[in-house]
Amino acid sequence: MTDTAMDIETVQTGEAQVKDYFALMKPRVMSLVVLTAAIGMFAAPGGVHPVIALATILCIAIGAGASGALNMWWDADIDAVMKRTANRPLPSGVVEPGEALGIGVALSIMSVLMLSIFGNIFSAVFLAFTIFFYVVIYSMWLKRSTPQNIVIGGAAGAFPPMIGWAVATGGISLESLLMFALIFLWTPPHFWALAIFRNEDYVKAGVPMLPVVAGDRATRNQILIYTLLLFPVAMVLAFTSVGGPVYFAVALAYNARFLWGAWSIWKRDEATATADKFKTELRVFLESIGYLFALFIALGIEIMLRALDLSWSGWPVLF
Amino acid sequence: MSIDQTATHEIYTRRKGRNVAVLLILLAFVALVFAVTIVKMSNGASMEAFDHAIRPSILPEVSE
Repeated sequence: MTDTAMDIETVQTGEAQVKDYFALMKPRVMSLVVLTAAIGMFAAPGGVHPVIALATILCIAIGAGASGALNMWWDADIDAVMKRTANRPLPSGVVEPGEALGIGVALSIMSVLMLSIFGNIFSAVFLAFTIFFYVVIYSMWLKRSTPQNIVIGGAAGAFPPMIGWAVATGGISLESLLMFALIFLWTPPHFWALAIFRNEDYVKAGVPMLPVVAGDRATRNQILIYTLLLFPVAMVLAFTSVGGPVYFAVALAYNARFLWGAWSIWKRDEATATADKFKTELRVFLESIGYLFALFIALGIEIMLRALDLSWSGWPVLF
Repeated sequence: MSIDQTATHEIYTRRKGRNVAVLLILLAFVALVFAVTIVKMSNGASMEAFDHAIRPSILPEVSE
């Protein structure tokens, strides 16, 4: 190594760029949080001023980003050994662990405080609890200790629509609980479809994911069970004040596809899956991402139809 | 150890990029707080908080 090369390396340590800090906040997870929180907020009765909506959704997104940064800080050791996460800012050495911790803690505090001012105290406490749940309960405690890590940890990802609803109403309702249940029950089959074909990664990292601990067959059974449980929850939402015919049609089509996918995964075994390089599992994993986006966008369409007074007044609101 | 001029310039460019980003974030934050304040005041929200003294303006309204 020449002197010049050494100089460059020394100087560049810890000099991450803006995009590296942004990557620390898990932008893809943040996009889902923004969508679900916004739908939760706009679906709620009463309505929120657009400026307040923008400010509060920003707080929720930053809170989610902060917990993502804290998760990366805590999990840097296992991220480094897994193929999927090896090029994250911490394992790749672009961002220092102390920076990630600092950014995570500072943004967590800021987002909660600002949400209490922009929105209300209840939603701010809810956001603080969500950050605590994701970072402490999921990342620090459950992820490395139980194969049910995804099931319980999934709650953290399911809270944003409830926080959005809480910003608008200051409370909780059946509709917001159902939106929570939708994401909560969707998370296990979504992640386990990934875990089946990324099994080696989790074994290497020592994370007790269900396929690692209980085996391939048990995971396939669980994927089908959770997808079956998800179906009625998604359909009941169509008959609440936030649902409608558009959501009903979209939910029916996407649930049928997700169920078909879960059934296809259940029918196969490890040998068949290995032979075709987990083609079905990968397809269902990708489809599951589309599933959640589609259902929440359908709820968004219902909100717009109601705002334009175009919703069908004869639609039965049973719950 | 010699200091490479190109490397020095490169690091300044990176730092400048970060500083500009921080500036823009702070300006956006100020604008957001200002906008929210205007909206809250226009909607008649109580902007006063507890200040260790009883003030009639922040007491909850009692229906007759």
